[in-house]
Amino acid sequence: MELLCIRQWISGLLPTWLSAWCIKPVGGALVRQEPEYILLALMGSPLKKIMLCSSEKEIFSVEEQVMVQHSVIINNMIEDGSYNHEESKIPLDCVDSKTLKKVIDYCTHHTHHHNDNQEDLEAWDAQFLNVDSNGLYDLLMAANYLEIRNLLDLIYGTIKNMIKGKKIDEIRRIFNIKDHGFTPEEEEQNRKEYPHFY
Amino acid sequence: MKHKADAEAKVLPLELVEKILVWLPVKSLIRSRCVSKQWLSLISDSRFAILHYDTADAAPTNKNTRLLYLSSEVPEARCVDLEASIRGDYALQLPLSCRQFSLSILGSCRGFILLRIHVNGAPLLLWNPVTGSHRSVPYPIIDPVPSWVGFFGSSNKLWGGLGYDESCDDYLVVVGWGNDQEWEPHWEYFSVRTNSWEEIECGHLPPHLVTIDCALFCNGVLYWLAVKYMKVNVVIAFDLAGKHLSMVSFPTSGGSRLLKLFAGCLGISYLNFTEDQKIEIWVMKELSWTRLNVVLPYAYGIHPLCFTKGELVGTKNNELVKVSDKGVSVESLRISCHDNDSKMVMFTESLLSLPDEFGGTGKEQGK
Repeated sequence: MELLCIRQWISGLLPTWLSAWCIKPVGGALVRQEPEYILLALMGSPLKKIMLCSSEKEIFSVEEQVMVQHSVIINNMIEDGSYNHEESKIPLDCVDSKTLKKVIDYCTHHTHHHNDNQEDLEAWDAQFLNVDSNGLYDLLMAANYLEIRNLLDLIYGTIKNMIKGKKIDEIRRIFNIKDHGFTPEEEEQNRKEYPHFY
Repeated sequence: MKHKADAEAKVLPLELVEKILVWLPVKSLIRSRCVSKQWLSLISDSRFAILHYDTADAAPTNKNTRLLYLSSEVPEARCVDLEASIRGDYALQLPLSCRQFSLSILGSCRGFILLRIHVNGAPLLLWNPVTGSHRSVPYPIIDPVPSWVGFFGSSNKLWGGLGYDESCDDYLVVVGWGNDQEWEPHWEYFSVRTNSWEEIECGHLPPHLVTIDCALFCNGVLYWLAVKYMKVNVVIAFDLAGKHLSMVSFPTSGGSRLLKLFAGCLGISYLNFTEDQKIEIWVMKELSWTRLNVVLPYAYGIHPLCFTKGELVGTKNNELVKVSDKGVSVESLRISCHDNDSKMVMFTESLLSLPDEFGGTGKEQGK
């Protein structure tokens, strides 16, 4: 039986007040979820997978629930019906394979381990972000594109801590800023006015 | 955005840099202005200043809140981060035009401080200590001129406050003066946008009302602690949107002390003489008072300033002290300042600039 028919059948059986109780996390916020999806999950139906396609044309298969919970963009694509489970894949031209794999890792871990205690999750996050600055920026841009709120907040917090209290030259290195754009006179003026920054 | 070989060092697009910088404390932003020309123009943009301020203010406690006091030893202002160790205080340059005079603080709001210069004829000063920009606000012209104008003697009080009217993105300077014996008080407010003074109706307030503290701005209302008939303490409130003065009732009668802002809400600290001489703290939420479930043993001589993370910060003689809720002194810092002279204020560091009268957001107006 096609999934759509199952859905309609179930939703016909359920009282309307039930939908008020069904909420799920999407992209870090909580939204109402149709009760029929929750029932299906509870009934142990095979977890729906979706296909994500990286910029290098590599296909990654991932549980639909995992991505829908974390990425607002993917959730919207699936809810408005522009994604057909049977044939299409979601093309992500901005994200390369290495980064996409990491993003999927993050979302999968946080979905399956969301009941873990805070310390364990934070330790896993710290290990997850133990990458070089290029990798970190790729992750940031992917999380920004896919609108994954908790990954974004995690990366913002990490970068913010990386630059707090650092000297100007170190900040430039962290952000790969080769040409600061100041004239020699302006740079000289800054160094004189704020010697302790350098 | 497509990227080429991995070997090429990646540069974050400016829109993402902005999203990171918005979370930085003000001090780090000042430093970040020197990183690159792009970052300088981003941080100096008034749109960014507003975004940064709103982001910090939306958090449960604004991380940029500081205590600022005017040093009585050297002509400078000093800033203390009360959430962190209070030993880490730093100096801020006063505007050049007022460094050699005696000053007092009438209020603060959104990173601006209202300064009063104790010299005949000197105007009020609106000052942002972080950016250094300032604007002078001449006193209103009163007709007929009372005989005491220019003579700020002990029985003639001048009080004031600084607030922000969200409905029209305008800063209002409120000034009042009077004498608790003879003259009726007079209240006026100055709008930074229209650059003019307007009188405030105060006939409905009880007579002989004189305020004893500088104003606190909280949720669109300015509050003063005032004295009625030289005895009874009352709270006067000025609603900025409605331009309306009113009185706010106290939670209980009794030995009230200071009116201070606690964690974003209006708070009053009480000296409860009846029960073991404890300091009680009452907080006003939604126009009703609740007593905080923290009662501090009366540490003799402490004037409470603020209550953060279960610790009370206050002044005691010439020291700033942090006291745990058991009354144990956690930290102290010697400061050359007495709170009684209106030389101390809680303020929030910001990069904001004042709107100019032509409707734009102002540029620097130094003197």
